[in-house]
Amino acid sequence: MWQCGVDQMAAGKRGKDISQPLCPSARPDMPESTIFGVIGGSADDPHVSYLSEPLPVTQELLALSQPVKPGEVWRIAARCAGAACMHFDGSDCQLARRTVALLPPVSGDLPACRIRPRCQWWRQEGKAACSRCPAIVTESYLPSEAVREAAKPR
Amino acid sequence: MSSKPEKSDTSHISVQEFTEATFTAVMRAMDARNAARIVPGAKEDFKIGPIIYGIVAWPDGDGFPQLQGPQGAKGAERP
Repeated sequence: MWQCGVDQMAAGKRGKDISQPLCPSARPDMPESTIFGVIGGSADDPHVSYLSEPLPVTQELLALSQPVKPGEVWRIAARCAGAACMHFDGSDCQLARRTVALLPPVSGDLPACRIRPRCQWWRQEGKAACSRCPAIVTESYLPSEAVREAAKPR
Repeated sequence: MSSKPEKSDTSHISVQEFTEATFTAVMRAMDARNAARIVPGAKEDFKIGPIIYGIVAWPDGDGFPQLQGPQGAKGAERP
């Protein structure tokens, strides 16, 4: 059932190809950028709450994140940049690979995430990525050592 | 009795709850920024920049041109 949201999002006004993967740790200025989670928990133990319906990024929504940056408060998905991203090795997202290799799982069940059908991390790493995703903050001032290591482009 | 767990494997929020959740998230982010400034041994507040978990810079346009490096989009702004 949860696939409906992302399918509508993708096939809606913008008419984009829903087969194109989405990056689940993207920037708000990228094509098809959509808020799909809000960072909850505490400053040193963040935890993503997933939106029941992803919200396309707008200037009005961006204003809500002031005075901090959108990546500190939301998880944003956007079309995977592929070779334009320093984490892409030509075939796979190495950030997703390091996420699974270096971070501990924080969720036993699959989170109720609406972007999953198009998520590059899910497509590439499966449940192992989803079980770690809730602990990820795109722009973080208090990263764990493991997060810091995983975030480094190779 | 009605308290909700702060963490849940299936935690999700409705669009109606989005604004309030975002406000709480902004507060959390400001806490994180303040905590990050405290560096043992530093004479004054020493502001540590954030780590970016994902693509660092985004070039304008839909064509996904190759980035020059991690600082790509910012470097060229100087006169």
